Amino acid sequence: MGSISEKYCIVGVGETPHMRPSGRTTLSMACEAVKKAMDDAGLKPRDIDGMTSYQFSDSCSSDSVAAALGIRLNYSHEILGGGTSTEALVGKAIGLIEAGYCKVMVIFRSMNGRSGVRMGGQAPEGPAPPVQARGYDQFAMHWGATSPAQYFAPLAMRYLRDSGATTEAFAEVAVAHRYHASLNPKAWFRTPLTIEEHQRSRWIVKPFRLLDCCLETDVAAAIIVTSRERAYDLRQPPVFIMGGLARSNLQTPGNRLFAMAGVSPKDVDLVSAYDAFTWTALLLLEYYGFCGKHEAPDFVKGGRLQIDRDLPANLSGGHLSEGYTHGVAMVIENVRQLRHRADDACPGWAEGKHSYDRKRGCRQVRNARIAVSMGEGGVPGAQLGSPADATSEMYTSALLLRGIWS
Amino acid sequence: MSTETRRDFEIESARRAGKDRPSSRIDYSKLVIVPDPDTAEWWAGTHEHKYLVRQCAECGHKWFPPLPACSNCTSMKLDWFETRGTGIIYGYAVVTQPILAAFTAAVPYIIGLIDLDDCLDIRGVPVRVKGIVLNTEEEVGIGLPVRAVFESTDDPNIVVPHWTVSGDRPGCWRFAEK
Repeated sequence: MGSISEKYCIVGVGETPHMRPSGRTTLSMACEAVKKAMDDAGLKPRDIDGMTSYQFSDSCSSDSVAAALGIRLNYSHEILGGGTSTEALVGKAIGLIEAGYCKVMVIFRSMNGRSGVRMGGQAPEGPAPPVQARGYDQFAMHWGATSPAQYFAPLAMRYLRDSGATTEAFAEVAVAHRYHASLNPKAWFRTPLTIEEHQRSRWIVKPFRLLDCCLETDVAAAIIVTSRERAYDLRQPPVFIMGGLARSNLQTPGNRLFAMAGVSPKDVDLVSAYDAFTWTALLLLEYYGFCGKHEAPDFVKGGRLQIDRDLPANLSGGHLSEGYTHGVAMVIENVRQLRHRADDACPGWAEGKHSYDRKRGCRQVRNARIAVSMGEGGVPGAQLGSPADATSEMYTSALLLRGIWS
Repeated sequence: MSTETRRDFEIESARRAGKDRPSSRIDYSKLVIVPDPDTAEWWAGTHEHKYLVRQCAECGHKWFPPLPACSNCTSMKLDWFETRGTGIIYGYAVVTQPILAAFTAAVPYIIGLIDLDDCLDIRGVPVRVKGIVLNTEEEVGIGLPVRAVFESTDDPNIVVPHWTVSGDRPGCWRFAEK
């Protein structure tokens, strides 16, 4: 990112509860998330002049949220996108602020992901008008791939063969994220999990079991980006954006992220890895160089992704256990951790006072200084890279973030 | 050495009985495939039991699905290459929970990634296609050879290619977890 590394900050975060079902409109949920992010930052509607969101034509627009909250925008824009969008839109916000289009940008995602438009379309028991397969879907649906789990599973199977791993590697991810969810009062699933319980859960699409798949919820989440100068006037300790990637193919080199800021994976204190499935989190650890190709199963073995261990991952519980936000939570939790204000059971969390006693429900990582948020998505059917590798159809976005404490 | 599988036997029996209609048990009345100008000729090919891939008329590069330009040279002068419809399983998955209503009766089914064995792209890499493998979980494995079979649907314009294991290969990899 060169000269603008750390020139921009994330200053506000907020989200609705995870609901099943919400009984609300995506507009109502988006307003709540944006309002909470503004309150968190200490910003008023008059301070916001940019807003952007991502969706699959399943949500409300920025200008409708702005109208409802009395915000006057200089910039608003929606994009189509999934799990690579949050980090990519932060990159876009930096560019737009740098270019003078606006000064304070809100990024949100609002979805009735459980009760409204679900990933992969209708449930079998629901009303079933004929589904039309157009575009890429012509070459996915006709062979029975109709959901993200079904797109990814054959590649995950190949990964198991090539790495020599078993699904216990997947279980390590599920168990670590669930442990962190047990320390998060906002998480949907809070009962700790064992490897054996993961292995006993029912198959969805082999090699994925139920506990390999994320938890679809109704939720909206928002973050606010502005310049370093503006950040110092605001309520929270700023979180600096050291570097980022936006929708890069997984066959491009991931170490560019660290090169932008002159640090290495060894400098990172915690991560969030997009866990639509347990396996996608493993792939991201390899891509960004926390371990080598096909080494993630060994890297995560024995609880090494758990808090107080080698590389704490998805401290909120992630999409697997806190609830599915389509990626925003990958950034929100890291921001809270880097402020040293994880909203856990510690009475003084809002002032940064933590017990670090996990048995008393503290989930703040000690001395958290640098975090990486890693998004992931795919374009099933478009074979753009070498088919000799499972990652040729997958994309990632990322943010390298630093707290003010280091 | 015979390489016939139970599925081959079923298909051959069906063919001799005059009903060469391998069935995926997908309800195609609930899944409407809508060809477009980029893909209509490909679907027409399946009618004649041809498995086509795109080939660049200028540089010879091959690819699938039929995206409308050559990723090697950007040419938009395109031909079709008729493959033998044979390949090797690169990866697979076993769907046990249906998502769309069209697939309710089809589970469990195998989705496969197939490397075509007579069809290299310009870099010498096999072109990879995808499809349902009409075999049981015990019969499939990474590395096994497969061939295309064609299922007619209720829509007279749509014939859908699937795959069936066509032989054995020592050392093929199977998912062993229960």
